Amino acid sequence: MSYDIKNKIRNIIDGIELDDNAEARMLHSIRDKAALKNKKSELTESRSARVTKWAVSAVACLAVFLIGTIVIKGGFLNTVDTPAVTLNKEKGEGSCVTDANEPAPEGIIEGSFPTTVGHSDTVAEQSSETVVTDAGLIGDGSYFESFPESFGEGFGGNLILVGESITDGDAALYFEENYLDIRDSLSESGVPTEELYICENGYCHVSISAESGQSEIRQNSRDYLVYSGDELVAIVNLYMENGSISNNIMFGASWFDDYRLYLEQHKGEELLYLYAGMTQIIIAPDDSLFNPMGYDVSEYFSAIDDRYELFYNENVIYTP
Amino acid sequence: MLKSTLRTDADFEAFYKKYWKYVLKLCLSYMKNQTEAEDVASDVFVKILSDTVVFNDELHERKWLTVVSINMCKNRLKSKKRRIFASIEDRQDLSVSEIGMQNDILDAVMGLPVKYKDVIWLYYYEGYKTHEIAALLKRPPSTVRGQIRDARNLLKKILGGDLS
Repeated sequence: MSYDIKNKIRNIIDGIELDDNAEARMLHSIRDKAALKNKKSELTESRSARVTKWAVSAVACLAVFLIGTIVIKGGFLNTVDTPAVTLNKEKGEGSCVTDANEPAPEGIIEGSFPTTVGHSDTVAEQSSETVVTDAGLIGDGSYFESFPESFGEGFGGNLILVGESITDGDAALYFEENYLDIRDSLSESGVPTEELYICENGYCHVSISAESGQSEIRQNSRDYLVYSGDELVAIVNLYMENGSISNNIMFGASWFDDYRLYLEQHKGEELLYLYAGMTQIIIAPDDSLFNPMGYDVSEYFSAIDDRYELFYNENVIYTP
Repeated sequence: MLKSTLRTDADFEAFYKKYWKYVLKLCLSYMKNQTEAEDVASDVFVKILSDTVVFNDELHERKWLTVVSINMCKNRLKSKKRRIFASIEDRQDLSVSEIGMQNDILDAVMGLPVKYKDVIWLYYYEGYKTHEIAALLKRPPSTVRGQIRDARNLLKKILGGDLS
């Protein structure tokens, strides 16, 4: 008995007759699950908002412990600090262990601390979650507010820090522990991982709260660029919740090359990151705007003078 | 980051209509249980709704769905949820004939260990080369070739014929 197994398997699988109701049943299930997921997401959002409100109202009695008011360019910053993570800080902020087998390339992106973050058996007390997918994103997505019709009076100025802070030091520890998983996830997804390194300095984004219209910085969500050689191959978003860091990895985006070129053209400049709706906008110190996806976003800022000054905060600054 | 490229209900429904059968069949081959296969398959589509997924082309879409489906099935097979489901509902795996797969080859394929199912599906059904499968599954190419060879030998034993 001889089989052309390839064709047979294809023919058989293609010919499987599925339950007539399966399509509708699954669609119904998808909608239910998606709605549930959205609800959970909204709960997370509202929890963040509650933390903010609570912290702001506690200024009078707990200012020393909970809220520091820091004068920043363009206004005041209310820092809502909700420390909830215990991390091994012995190595200090920004220090990463370089994988001895894969020396970090030098001088590829000036000032971006090109580093191959190695794996360490010294595990800090934190959880990690790397969901392996094949393209686009590894992990759960980030959530942005809807695109405001226009920025103008009322936006900027008072930037509120929301959520549990992730520092570059926290990130370095996280990457030490999870570098191999991240690299393997990318590799499994067909992303080149030769000379892979994760930039040590990350950045948060200014966003506009749909609830309050207030400009805020979600300091529990921080992006890190990932290069293979001199190619930008992914962006790892670290997200801190209840003391645990999880990651979302975006890769394979068609606009990565344009973004990389932009960063090269702005070497040494303090770039400011902002989310408007689902779109990331970068403001250069000369107030010029850049949207990595190529959208013209200038109209949204037409009413704002000195937008760089207005939104400036060190949490949302990345210097390539 | 840009959220899913499936921005509207119409986008998603078109995507779903295009791929639901493929994803469900793939999940069925792993889960061997209609209810669980549908559950995992629907999770795959929920993931695409909630994730930041940017596809370059149709090939990319299919590759993403294949790998995500396989990973989700494997995770489910290992998961607590499955064990609980099994103990509570006295889960009975369906035979292939019960889910419309009345064929000895596929019956044999479905009976193979998961590691062989991966390579069989990707190599025979999807037509990937061994080095592509190695990259997708993060296994050395020699291991993938060995697994394909072992799977073929197992099928040969089960089916008692020559596999060309």
